[in-house]
Amino acid sequence: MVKSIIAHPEKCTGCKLCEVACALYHHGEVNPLLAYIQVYRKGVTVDLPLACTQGVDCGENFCMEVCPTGSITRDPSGVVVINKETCIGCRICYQRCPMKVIQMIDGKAYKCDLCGGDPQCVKVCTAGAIEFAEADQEEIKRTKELMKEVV
Amino acid sequence: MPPAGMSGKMLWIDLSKPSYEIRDVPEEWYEKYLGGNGFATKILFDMVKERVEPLSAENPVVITPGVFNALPVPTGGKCQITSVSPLTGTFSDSTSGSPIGAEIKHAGYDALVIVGKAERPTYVVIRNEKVEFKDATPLWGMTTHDTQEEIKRIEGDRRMIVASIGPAGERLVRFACVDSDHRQFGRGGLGAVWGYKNLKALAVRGTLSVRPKDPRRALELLKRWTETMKESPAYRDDTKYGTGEFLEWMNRERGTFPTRNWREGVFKEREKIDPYYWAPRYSIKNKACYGCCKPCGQLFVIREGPYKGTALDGIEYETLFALGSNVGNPDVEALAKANLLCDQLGMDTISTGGVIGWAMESYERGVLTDEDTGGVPLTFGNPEALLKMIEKIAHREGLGDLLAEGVKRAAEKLNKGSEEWAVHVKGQEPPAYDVRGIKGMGLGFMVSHRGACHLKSGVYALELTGKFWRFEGVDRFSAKNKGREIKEMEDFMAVYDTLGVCKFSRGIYLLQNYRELLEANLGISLGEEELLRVGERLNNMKRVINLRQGITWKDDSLPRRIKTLPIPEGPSKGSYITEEEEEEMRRDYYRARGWREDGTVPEEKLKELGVI
Repeated sequence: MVKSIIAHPEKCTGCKLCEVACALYHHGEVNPLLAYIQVYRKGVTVDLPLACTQGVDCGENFCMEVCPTGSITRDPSGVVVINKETCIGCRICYQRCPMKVIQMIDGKAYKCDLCGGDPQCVKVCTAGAIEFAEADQEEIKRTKELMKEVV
Repeated sequence: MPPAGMSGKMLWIDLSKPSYEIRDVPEEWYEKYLGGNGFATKILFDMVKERVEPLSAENPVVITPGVFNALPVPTGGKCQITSVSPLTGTFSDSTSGSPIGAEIKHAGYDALVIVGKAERPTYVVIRNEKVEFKDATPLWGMTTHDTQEEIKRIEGDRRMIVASIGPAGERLVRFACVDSDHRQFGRGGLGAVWGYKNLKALAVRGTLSVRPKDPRRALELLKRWTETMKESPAYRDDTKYGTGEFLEWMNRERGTFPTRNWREGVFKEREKIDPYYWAPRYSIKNKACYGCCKPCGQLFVIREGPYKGTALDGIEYETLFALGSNVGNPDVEALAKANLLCDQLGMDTISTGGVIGWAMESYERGVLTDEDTGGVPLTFGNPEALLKMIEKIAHREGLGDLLAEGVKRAAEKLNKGSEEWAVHVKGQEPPAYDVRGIKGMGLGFMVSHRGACHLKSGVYALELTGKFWRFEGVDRFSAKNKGREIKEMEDFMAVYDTLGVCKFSRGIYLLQNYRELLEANLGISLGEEELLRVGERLNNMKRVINLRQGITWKDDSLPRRIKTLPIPEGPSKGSYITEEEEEEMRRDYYRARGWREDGTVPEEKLKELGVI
């Protein structure tokens, strides 16, 4: 199975350094709207970091199937990538992504690309709340349950 | 041009009209005051020209993100609310790790200033350059946490960050706090200033980018410092046990954990309020301030029993004293509940525990009677009485109305000799350091601009361990040569307040390490001496504001209990601060600051610092 950003909400402190590192790495700016990982929070008890699990959480190939221009594909390493040249900004993937991990930025769709295999968010998460690993089914179930509460 | 990472804009809100205006930050401010607490100080310095009544339309509320908020600097997420305090009448800045500081920067502002008084309960919504004034009548009376959730619901935005007061702020409890995202701007009663202004809440959603000068370098530094923090010796204990980590040491090794209204320095019944007992049992994960990679917050959850369902980000060291030892409470579950009640009702835990400790001693001495307490047996070690009294204070019911005034005013009103055991400096109830056995910290309490405070000098760590930064061989039982120590530590700490860096990182960053962070993020280069100069400038300005507020050298004094009752038992047995030592330390401090003997600031000093 492809490795991706796996959330451990039971360890997430809600500090948002993952969002900071992500936006800074990809866009050279700090802005949650430019981050491909988002920390969803509710009350004092829930902190859920969410990034694309490369098709594992949502069920295989979801965004790839809905993209009308075929701009979303899986690259040889297994990472789901968006071709910015052909993306027309129709927002269909953004609206229909069940995990809500696609961001619209300047009229194009963006999502976690695992920073070329060295995810920056994981590097700054001292709490171990996000991990670059293979997901297991139990975790996926739990994340989806939590999502109902906060996303 | 403002430095990188700063917007150069301030938002001025007038609640009376209501109206708002976006103003440019004068460019020289960045050089002289950096931002954050520096800007708040400058704004109050310019606005408080003569005495301002804390509860008045004229008293400004300034909200400032720390310089490093929304920039990739780990533990740089602290922000502040600054105003004239209804508890002390002085300049008062209260810090929190709420993400609202970063959100304000994302909305495009380096500072918010709120003046005037709304006609009816109001909450203010800021979405970048758009500001709305909304009716908060339906929210009036709600707890802090409910208010925040309700506003997010009404505004249809779960990512919005809200700061709000609770019933205590509405009723002008003089130590009411502002809560935001389960973190508090606790000290100084600034929640009452909001209440007076009919300001129930402030909701912010920003969508603008904050751009470091050199994004690549800034990211590298973020990763490096994150790793450094994780590897620091403090990481394990801070994250595992929180700020109360050294509670047992403070009792057993130092005997300086104030207990039962500062009658004792060791809390014998401490076993279950020690985080080494409760963290493994009740803490289910860490909670962090915005941007913190060394999270000391403990998510404390009670799953069964009378307090079932209690969940809070706590319990902090100061609260373990205030709602624990100071009121003789050994029951950690009741303590957690009391802490949560204070957060929800919107009251500073330190002052709440301080004033209740005073009331308990008054009751035990027969100065307060059952008639006064409404039948509540207000004895030390009675958690039910503690919880009842917290509610009564927040709603100003019965005796709560007197206690809501803070310990200084309450003792003045009650009289009957109760000032003898009223423990405060400038009206503010002190935090958990028994300064009878930490004399330099005693001076810190005396001269802190916001009344008794551990954070403005932060000298407790240096005094208790004997060394920190440029100081070593410090003797906590001695009152000699404490002037320069406190002066330099205050200037040091003012830098942290301004940059918005957590003071628990002070041993990791120190000051010289900010140069590279300031270069990469702001594009300015400042070394230790230059930063200390900013700190010194700000501390002098805060003093001038306090002098305008009518503070004199007489207010730079310790409470009678500290000067008359030696610590009765433990490692600090017999220690207290004499009148002579108090006088010596005060003079020594004024000299170190270059102030006159009466504690006033000579004009030349202000000129030398470029203030005037």
